[in-house]
Amino acid sequence: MKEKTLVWLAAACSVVGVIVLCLSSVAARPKQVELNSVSQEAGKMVEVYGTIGEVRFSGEHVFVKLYGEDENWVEVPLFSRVRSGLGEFEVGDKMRVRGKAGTYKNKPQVVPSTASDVRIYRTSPVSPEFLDRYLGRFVKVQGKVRKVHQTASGKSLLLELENSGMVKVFVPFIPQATLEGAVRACGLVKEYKGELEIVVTCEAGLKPINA
Amino acid sequence: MLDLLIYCLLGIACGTFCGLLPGVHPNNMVPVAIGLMTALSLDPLCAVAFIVAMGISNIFISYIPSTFLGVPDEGTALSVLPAHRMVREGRGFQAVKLSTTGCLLGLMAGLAFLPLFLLFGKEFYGVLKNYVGLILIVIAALMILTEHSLSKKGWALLVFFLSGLLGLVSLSGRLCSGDAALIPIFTGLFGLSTLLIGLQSSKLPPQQDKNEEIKLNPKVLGVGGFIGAFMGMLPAVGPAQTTVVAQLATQSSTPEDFLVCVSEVNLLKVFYSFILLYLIGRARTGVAAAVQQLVEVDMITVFLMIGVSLFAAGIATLLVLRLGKSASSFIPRLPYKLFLTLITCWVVGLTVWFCGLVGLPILATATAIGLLPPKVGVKRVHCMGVLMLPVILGQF
Repeated sequence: MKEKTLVWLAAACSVVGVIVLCLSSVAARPKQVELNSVSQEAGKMVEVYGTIGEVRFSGEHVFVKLYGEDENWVEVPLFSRVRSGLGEFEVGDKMRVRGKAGTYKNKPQVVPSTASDVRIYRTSPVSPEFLDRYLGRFVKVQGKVRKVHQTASGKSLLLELENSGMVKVFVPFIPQATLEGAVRACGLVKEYKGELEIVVTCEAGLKPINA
Repeated sequence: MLDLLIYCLLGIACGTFCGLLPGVHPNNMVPVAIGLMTALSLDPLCAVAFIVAMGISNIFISYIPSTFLGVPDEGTALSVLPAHRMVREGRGFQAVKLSTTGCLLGLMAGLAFLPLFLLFGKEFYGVLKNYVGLILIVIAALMILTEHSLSKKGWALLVFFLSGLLGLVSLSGRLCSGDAALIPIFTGLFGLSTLLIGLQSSKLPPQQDKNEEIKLNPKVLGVGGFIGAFMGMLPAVGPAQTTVVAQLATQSSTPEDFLVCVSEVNLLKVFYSFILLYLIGRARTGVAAAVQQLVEVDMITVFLMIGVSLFAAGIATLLVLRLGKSASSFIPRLPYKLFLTLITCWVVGLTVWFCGLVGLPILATATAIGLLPPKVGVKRVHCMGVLMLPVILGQF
């Protein structure tokens, strides 16, 4: 075999490699689906993208509710081996998840198998003055707790946070965290009696922050 | 698609870097690469493309330092003596071309055997995995019995056992980590011992630039590919042992055939380690273990890894031809003794870096054992007792 033949063979090998790579990458990359069609793709590998709306802890496992733009959601169970490979995240952060689509107790879910199947995009707290831009979306705000009102039922709270303006935060449960000093509230921006407020969706959505 | 190609190219660049630096292996880069990819939340398929491209291209490139500098790793160990001999005949580039051809055609032979491997590999593994110790004893016996005279058979046995004892002591993990100990072991047994013999001459001869034709033996390619594919799945059976079996099967004795066979088997060990992740779920190389950490390997991932391997192999071949030509014209111009002294300092430094001071007696002992075969006229393959004896004893 001459050197020239070897060069041609190497070039042909590279070209075939690119073709195989191209075909297999199309097949290997999971289909990107909207959150509302996850249950129709049961059993298939899919990729979804959304905003973290709820975070629930159960032992070493974490269950995340991922919301789309149109209030559809899917649950993403992050079992301990997946969770241990992930960094920090909280309500309001964006998440891209690749995993097996399915349903659990009639709820749509996407189950990632490794930490590399999950990509988190951290978001920053928004300023209260721009809250109107986020109506119907999940945001984070932080500020000093100025007032805490307990609602008539006694099962929920209304906080007033100050941070270059006041913002109302509705907490539909009695939180375990001490609400003194500065806190970060993550939740859905809603309008209530003509005023904007943030509705905290889960215990993890409200946490004290160090000054 | 474009991102995958970019990560393939990055992997090739990384594999080339590790391949050109004697004693540096992709396994040293894998923890850094995985850490970086996790921190960047990189698409796992891109990470797989990077690692496979790095592993495959490294095999091709590593034949340049092992040929011209005589510093091998486990895969290139057996190629050092015939390749360095060709360098001393002024045919260094031809040795590099033979190794590259062996790797490239080996990959193609490996692909040809892939359907057979996918069909019967699992059953084959199920049967053979219980007899690894026995298989290694048979290979060791065949290696020793192929020496011509009784005295040479005796020397071969001695070299095998001395190397084995070195392996038992240094790979136990008590002196330093087993993986780190491989650096002084292989550098000493196959590298420094070759370089010390080379120190007797003042300079390397000028390397021939003529376009020598590569003579290929189809029997070596075919049998090497088949044996390389199937024996790679056995734990502790490395390229060296597989080459011995392939050599015995083909009855070839020329250094050219040997270089083609050993490089083919070496490449197939890495390539099939990716396929084995799908077939038996076991990682047989460091780079395959890295892939296993990143994704669950299914049939589509196998095809993706085949694509990456072909692409990386093609590019690496072109790189080796270019870099090998430069090395063959550049290295003979260097002051040879000073150059060998620098290489020796480099490998001693690497040994201390990876193993600490305890690596130095390992390196010295391995070099002393490695000097024996050329002095008494037996094959250096018996030094592979360093890996074989500990595994054989571990099986019983």
